[in-house]
Amino acid sequence: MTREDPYKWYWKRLARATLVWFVIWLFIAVLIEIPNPYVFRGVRIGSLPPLHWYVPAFIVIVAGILAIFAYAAYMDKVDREFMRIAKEGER
Amino acid sequence: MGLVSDIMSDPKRATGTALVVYAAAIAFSALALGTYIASLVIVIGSLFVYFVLALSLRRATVEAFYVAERKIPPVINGAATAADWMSAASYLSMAGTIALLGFDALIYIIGWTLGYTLMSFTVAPFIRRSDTYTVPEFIETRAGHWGPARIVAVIMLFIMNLTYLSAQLLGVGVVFGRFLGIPATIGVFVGVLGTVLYSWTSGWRSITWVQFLQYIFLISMYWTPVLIASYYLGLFRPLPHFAYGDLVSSLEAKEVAYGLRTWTEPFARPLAAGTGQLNWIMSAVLLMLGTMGLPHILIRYYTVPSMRDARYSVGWSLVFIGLLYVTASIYAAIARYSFTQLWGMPVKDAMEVDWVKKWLPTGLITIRDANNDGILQPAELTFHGDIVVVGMPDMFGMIWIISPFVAMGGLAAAISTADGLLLAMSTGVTRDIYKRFINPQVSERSEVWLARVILWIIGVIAAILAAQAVADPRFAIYVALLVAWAFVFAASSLTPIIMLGIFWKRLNRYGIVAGMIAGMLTAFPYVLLVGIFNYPPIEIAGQKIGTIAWGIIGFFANLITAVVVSLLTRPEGEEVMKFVDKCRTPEIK
Repeated sequence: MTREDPYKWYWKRLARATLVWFVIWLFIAVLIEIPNPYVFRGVRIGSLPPLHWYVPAFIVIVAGILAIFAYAAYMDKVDREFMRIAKEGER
Repeated sequence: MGLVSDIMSDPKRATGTALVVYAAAIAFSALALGTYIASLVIVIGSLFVYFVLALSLRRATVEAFYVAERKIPPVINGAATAADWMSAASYLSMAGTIALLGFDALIYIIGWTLGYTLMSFTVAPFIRRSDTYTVPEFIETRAGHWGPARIVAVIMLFIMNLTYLSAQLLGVGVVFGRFLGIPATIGVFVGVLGTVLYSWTSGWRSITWVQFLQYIFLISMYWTPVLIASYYLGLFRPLPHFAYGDLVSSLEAKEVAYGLRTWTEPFARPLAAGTGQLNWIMSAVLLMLGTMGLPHILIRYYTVPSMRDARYSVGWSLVFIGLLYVTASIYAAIARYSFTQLWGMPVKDAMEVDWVKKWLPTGLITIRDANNDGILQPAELTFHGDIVVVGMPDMFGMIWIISPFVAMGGLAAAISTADGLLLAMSTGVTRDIYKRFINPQVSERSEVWLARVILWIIGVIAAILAAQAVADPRFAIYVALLVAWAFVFAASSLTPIIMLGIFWKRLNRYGIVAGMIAGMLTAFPYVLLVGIFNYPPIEIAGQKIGTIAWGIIGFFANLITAVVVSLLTRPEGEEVMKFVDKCRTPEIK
């Protein structure tokens, strides 16, 4: 294994994670907002306000927070693996 | 003296002591000097607590001043970022904007939060790993240490921050003016004094911890009135967030009964001169992209120990920001409910309602019997968005002490943002211009002292601009608009370059500078012509594209120009490639 390998390995995983989380972000931040005012207008569940109202904001903020922590946890795993491969390469 | 020195050498003890003195002063003034003086003590006394905390953290090193020694824990940094982020506009005006615009204001809630999600995996950890001190320094390093790239970045930073800062100080003046009955112009200068006084002690090291404290103050004071009002209205099932549906439905029914468009109708009102869903979506995305290019926010992620901490810190930032943003719509619904209670009342009686009587002289609410029928019609009652938060304690007859505490929270929101902006600019002058181009051999001590002097100078310039805004309502309107446009300028100048700089190695110095200039030249004239000179906006698919939404065009103009120019010119050398690799990967320990 050459010295450059761990970096290439890390970059592949980082690029893939970035793409996956970009799609997640695109969905919760943009795509979900397109049908929302039409599909959920006037729809109510229990004592919640109409579902097109500020309910989506609540949901996407929570989803956005979860996405950040999920990314951080995933990258922790990748980081640890990177350290391991890099140290093995140094030996 | 020994006791004072002992206390001041321990930040926890110093803050605790300051809080005890603050509480005692409030109690004494309330009992002995009356409610007006006690209100003054509550609002101005908070500055004393911030100052004591900052003084106990004083340090005269570049590492402390610029990046808080890179020792701030992720959770603390998250709360400090939230305070840095949530300005007077978020605290005082967000709920009011929802009360006025209804559904259409949802873009601000989504646009000013989901940018953090994007930032967490495209920008924050990588700029932390760069080990640079400022965003312009990051851009210059990425441009192969090419000076013009840094100068252009500093110019962009100043365009964004100075307008943003003026608006914050305007907010400070408004808070002081309305609550304490002093001229708003004086309030502006008191605000600058308060802000610079503690930023001065040790830059980001002191303001980070002060911002953490300010966050606790502002979020507590934001939630208190709305929770009490929710209790009055029986909305605790278990929290108002899940139980205000009936309130919204009753408002809709009332609006329909009066033949009005309902508050909940989507895309019913123009948004920054634009109309329709396309404009709405583009505006929301622009606010997210702009979030990632604001230097006073990006710099927060320089202050944590590692790129791992930066990732988690962005998450905590959004947790703390979300606590305020998910509550704003409840404020709006409750305030609107209070307004609609006045509809159909005899005008004389409406003007005698306690809270209306108190707030009519401020101009934040107006009543005019236009058709002379003696009955208050919906169109005869108008309100300014700022009354929604600051007026809520009075709408529900809460005990007097709540109001000044709400004002204290508003002041914390305004000055916590102001100090972040001030420091980002003073750093731009000292580190990015003076040390880089004028006197590279400057000693650390002189550099910190220069930064302190620059803090005062920029503070005074911004205060003069804000005082001008107080004196001239037309100028105030432009300042408020320019705050929203700061996001347009950030998204059109810095955001694409930072993202490309991390993820595309082929980006070179010429692409960086050409991209920033092209983005700004695309965004700025449109904002100027449509936003200020009222030229008709461009239409796409029959929908008018407003000034905020246009920033998306600026973003792509920057991105495409940077890519094309980079491909047409020579790539950067090995040193830049190593820098990019370093930014992308964690430190091997």
